Amino acid sequence: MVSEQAALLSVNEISKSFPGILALDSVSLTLHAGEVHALIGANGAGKSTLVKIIAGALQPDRGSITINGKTFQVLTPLLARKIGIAAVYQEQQLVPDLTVAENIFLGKEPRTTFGRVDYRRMSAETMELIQTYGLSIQPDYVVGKLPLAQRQEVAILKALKEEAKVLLLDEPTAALTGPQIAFMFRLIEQLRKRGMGILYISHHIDEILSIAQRITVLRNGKKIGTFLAQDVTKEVLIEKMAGRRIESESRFSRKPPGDVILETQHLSINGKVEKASFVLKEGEILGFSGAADSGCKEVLRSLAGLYPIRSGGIKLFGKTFRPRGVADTMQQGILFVPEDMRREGLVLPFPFPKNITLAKLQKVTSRGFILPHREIQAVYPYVSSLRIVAPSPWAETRILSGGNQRKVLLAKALFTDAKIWLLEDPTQGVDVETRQEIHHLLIEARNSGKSILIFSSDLEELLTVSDRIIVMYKGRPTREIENPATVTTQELLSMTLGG
Amino acid sequence: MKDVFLTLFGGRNVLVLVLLVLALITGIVNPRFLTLQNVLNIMLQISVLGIVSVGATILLVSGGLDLSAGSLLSLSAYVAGLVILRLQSLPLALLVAFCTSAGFGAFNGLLAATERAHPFIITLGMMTFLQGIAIAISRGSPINGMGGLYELIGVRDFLRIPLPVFVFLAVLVSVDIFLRYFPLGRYAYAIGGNQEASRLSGIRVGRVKVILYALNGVCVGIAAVVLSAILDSALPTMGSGYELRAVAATVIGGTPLFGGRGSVWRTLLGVLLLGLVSNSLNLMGVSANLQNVVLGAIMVMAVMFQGSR
Ligand SMILES: Nc1ncnc2c1ncn2[C@@H]1O[C@H](COP(=O)(O)OP(=O)(O)OP(=O)(O)O)[C@@H](O)[C@H]1O
Ligand SMILES: [Mg+2]
Repeated sequence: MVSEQAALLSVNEISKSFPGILALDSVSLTLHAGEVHALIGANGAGKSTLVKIIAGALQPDRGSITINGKTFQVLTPLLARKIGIAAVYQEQQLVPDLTVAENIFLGKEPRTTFGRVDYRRMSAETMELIQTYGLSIQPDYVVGKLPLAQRQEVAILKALKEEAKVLLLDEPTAALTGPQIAFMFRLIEQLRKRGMGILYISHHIDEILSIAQRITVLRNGKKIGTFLAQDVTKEVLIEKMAGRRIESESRFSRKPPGDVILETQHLSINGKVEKASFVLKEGEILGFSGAADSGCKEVLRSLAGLYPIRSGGIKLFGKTFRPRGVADTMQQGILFVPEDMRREGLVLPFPFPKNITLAKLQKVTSRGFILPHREIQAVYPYVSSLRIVAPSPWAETRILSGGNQRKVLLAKALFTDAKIWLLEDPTQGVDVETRQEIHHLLIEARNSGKSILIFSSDLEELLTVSDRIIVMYKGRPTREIENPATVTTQELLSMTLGG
Repeated sequence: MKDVFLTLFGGRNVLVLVLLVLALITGIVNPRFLTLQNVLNIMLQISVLGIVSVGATILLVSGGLDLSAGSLLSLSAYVAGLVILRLQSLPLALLVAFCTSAGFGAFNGLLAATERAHPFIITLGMMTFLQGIAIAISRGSPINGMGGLYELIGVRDFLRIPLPVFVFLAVLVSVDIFLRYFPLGRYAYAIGGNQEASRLSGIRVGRVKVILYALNGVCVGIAAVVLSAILDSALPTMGSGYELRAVAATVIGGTPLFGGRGSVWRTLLGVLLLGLVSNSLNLMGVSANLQNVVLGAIMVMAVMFQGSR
């Protein structure tokens, strides 16, 4: 234990303000070698800001950072890398047009004797890394074409390649599903044992209690305290983050659903889905559960008109329906909310209210003109019920914290009044309190007659909100859970793994 | 330090400041600069570039670009001139000019909407293509005398302000309203900011692009009519260079090249800056070649000072 207590990194009274907001208010913490130190707090608490400051991507207004006994007032990304700090940011920093290997070696490409980039060695070394950590990607995959979860793997691999002493992980598991999370934990444990200090951010408190030794809680940019994991419970931590008691979520009451409104028959999608047949009823939340290659996301996306269907049919309100592009399906009252919000969901340079109204501008126009005052009024209820925190109503979506961006995306969906919702991981990166609030909103929507198809990598969430769950495995529906209340997350996990 | 620098020199405020300082210095050096006549002169000189730049702003905001604007201007003006020369019908001439410009504009949009190539390449090709057509039908000879068009726009003024200036302001205000209050205008920003997110929001991206490029074409058509009215002639190469100066003015004004942001008022500042500088250089008797050096330097500096955010 003694050797583990050496402070590897210490953050000394760091403050940082942005226009209109004090994001960090003299925050200090220490990170020991061989420690997983969790950093938790509500959306907008300042976690990502702190990570960026430690990694040199942002300059603090005041305070300093000490590593290996040396104190730095300002760090640059290059300097931070040199002194052994590696970071995986919440928003990904990979180059989409480059391959996995090129991304991992970016700026440090091995050279041949003639000074040209040695692609063969780069590829071989990347393969070695991939195998060491048992990942499923290939060195020559183009990063931009990978799904979010695998891009996350590349980002982590890139950080590991640095052989750093300090690893900063900002919500690394948010996009991952069960087995990938377990895998990530083994990896982190392995690195910890080698004496690395790991600063770990997540909104999943159970996760944190199982892998962290110490936990620091931030609230509104202030440090509330650092606690030993063995001394606290989930309830205590949640209370510290929110500043008041939050009732834990009970399972919701169920209401008998109405008529079938959407039905698929032997839906097949090239190479992804084989003969998926299911029904969605009015006033029902139908959960989809499955691993990355299960085809769940493809089912949602094909219903949204994003993937061509190879064979099989879809019936909507009793009539045959061939999705022909998103604009078409939206007109039919189907709304799709993508998981990858930065790439597919949000217009980042927009002030956030404009994102909320984008998919249903008709609601704020009169005779074809947008009425700005009506727009602000119309988004207000969504902003307050989802607790969207922003420095001002004109704040660009880009500068909101990750969780708040997710809330904007959801507000945008709620704003459209669609009849059928197709949701991909709607609470990814959202804090505990708002996650419950979103679950309430989904239940309310269901009770008012909406039908919701939800895919979530968060199994607990699926079990909490779904009326019924379809488990898919390798492109086929394998199970249907009629009463999710009787199933545990462990059981659901093993079903998604083909059990 | 960098922050202080950026707040002082980043954004629009600087441009206004630079404009004022520039006007003052020139005014002191050469008193003729601040006379009413010269101010009106400058306004007349910038009106055509202004109209083309407003069109360019619509495209830049949506992540698009039109390098064929100059050639299209020449072609539209020349066909209008031909109609006037042969048929002596002014309304028909205007109609033909607008059909040509809006039509080829929409065609640019159709090509851009296929997403096969960057609009830079597509419209670069169209630039050569349209210039070729203009030269071919003219066989290189200009049309002198635009008949009624000259009397209608070219020489008239209101309160001593030349009519082309009003045309420019009308285009500016209309496009401003379009971009801010029309759903299509909102979609232009959305597509420029994140095309995939726009598509997933149910926006028919291709259709919107065709309309935006067509609108840019309309602006080019208006510019063609105004320019040929001012010059009272139509030349097959009269528009060349406008496409790049329009993009320069727009970007100097502070509308980024990568889309999602910007406004026509910023573009107005950019156009004013270019106009003021060349006018004051003229008054100071700087030779044309040296003027280009100064203008180029100013463009680069202005864009650097915008900061990259
Ligand atoms: N570039 C910026 N400009 C202005 N404000 C910013 C900027 N970046 C972050 N902020 C603000 O700083 C605050 C803290 O943001 P931060 O991203 O650190 O939150 P977080 O704790 O990581 O939240 P989340 O859990 O949602 O990711 C937020 O209110 C955010 O709006
Ligand atoms: Mg964050």
